[in-house]
Amino acid sequence: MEHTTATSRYAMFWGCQIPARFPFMEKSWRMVLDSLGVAYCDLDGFTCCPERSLARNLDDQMYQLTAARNLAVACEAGVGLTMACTGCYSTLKCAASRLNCYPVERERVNAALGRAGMSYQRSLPVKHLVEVLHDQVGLAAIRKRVVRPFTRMRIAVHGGCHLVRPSHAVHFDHPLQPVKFDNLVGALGARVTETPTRMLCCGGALDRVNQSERAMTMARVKLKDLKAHGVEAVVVVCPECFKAFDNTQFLLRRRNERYDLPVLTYAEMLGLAMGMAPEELGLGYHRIEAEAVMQRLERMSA
Amino acid sequence: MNNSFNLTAIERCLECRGCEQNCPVFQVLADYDPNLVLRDILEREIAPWLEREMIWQCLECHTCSELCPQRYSWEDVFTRLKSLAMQQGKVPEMVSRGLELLRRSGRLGEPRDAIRKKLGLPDSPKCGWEELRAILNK
Repeated sequence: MEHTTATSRYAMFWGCQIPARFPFMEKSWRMVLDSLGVAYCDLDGFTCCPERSLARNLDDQMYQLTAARNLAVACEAGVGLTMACTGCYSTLKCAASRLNCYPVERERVNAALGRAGMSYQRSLPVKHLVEVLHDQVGLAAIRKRVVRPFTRMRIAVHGGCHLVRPSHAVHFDHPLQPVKFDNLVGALGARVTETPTRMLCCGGALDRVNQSERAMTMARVKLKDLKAHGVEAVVVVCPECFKAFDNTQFLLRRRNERYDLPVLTYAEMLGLAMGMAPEELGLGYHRIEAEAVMQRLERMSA
Repeated sequence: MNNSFNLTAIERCLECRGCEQNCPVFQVLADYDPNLVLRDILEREIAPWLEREMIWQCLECHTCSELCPQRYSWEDVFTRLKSLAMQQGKVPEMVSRGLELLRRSGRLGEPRDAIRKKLGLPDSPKCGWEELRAILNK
C-alpha cells in the first residue's frame, strides 16, 4: 500500500484558487519547502481537482474520472502528490480511497484513462503539506530551524473541515479533535489557544451559493469568539478559509465592524519563524494587515 | 423521486438527532433546520425544497456523516437534493457560473501571471483540460 520515506518526491497540486486568487500563498510555500529541503516538483497537465460540491452533485462519474486523471498525472511522473488546499486534498484523497477499495471502479476508471495512455496506481501517496511536515519532516527538525519564535503569542489554529474529513479517506488525524496542525504551530513556540469555536467551519461555502450574508454570519461567530479569548492571530492552510476570515473582516470594516485579527497561513508563520522577511513571504497581499504580529515578534526577539 | 432517499434511515434520523448540536450551520443560522426537510421527504413533499435556499446551506463539512451511526446523514440528504435541483437547472447563479468555468476551461479561474511575475514565481504549469476533455467525451 502507501509507502513513503523522508526522501519521497512530490508533485505540487496548487489547485485553482491559490494561483488565481492568492499567488502569494504559492510563494511562501515554495520558500519554506525549499529551505526545509522538501523535494517537490511542478507538473503540467493537472485540472481542477474537481471541486466536490460542484462536480459530484452534478455528475459523480465525471467527478471521479476528473480526480482520477489528476492522480494519474502524478503516477505517470512517478511522484506522490501534495497540496496546500484542503478542498483539493479531500477530493483527491476520496478519489484515491475509492479507487483503492473498489477494484471494479478501478478497472472502469483505468479503462477510460487507458484510452489516453494513462492509469492510476494504488501505491500513489497523496498527502497534505501539514501531513508532510508533521509526519515526514517532523516537529524536531522544524523546531531546530526556528530563529524568531512566536513565544507566548496566542494563536488559534483553524485547519479547516476537509483537512481531516471524511476520515475514512483522509485518515491522518482525528476527524473531530485533530492535533497535528496544532503541534506544528506549537513547534514555532506559539501558545495554541483553543476556543469553543475551534472546529467551527469557516462558512466560506455559503459565499459560493449566493448567500454571502450568511457566510458573514458564520465568520463573525468565529471572529468574535477568537477576539473574546485574546487570540492575536488565526492560522489556516486552506485558501477558502483564508478568504472567509481575511476578506470577510475587510467587508465588515466597511460596515464599521472591526476585528483586526491577522490571518496567517502556516507557510507564512513558518517562514517568519525561520527568519524570512514578511514582504518576501507576501504578507502585503493580505486584506487585514499583520503588523501587530510582526511587532510582537520583533519585541520578543529584541 | 422517492426512491432517491432512504426513508427508513430518515425516520430513524428524525428520532436520533445526535449530530444536531455539532452541525456548524445548525449552531449558527437560526433559520436552518434540516428536520423540516426530513419530515417533508417522508410526506413525499420533495419538489418545493428544490426551489429553496436552505438545501444550499449544508456546507458539506462532513461533521454529521462522521457522527452518524447509520452512515446516512443530513449531508447525504442535502447532496441528493442539490443533485436533483442541479438536474432541473435550479441552481444558485454562482454555482452555474462555477460549472460553466469547469466546462469551458477545466478549472475555476486562471493563474494571475502579472502578480506571479512580480512575486518571482515560475511560469504556471500547463492545464490538462484538452486531455481531460478527450477522456470525458469518449
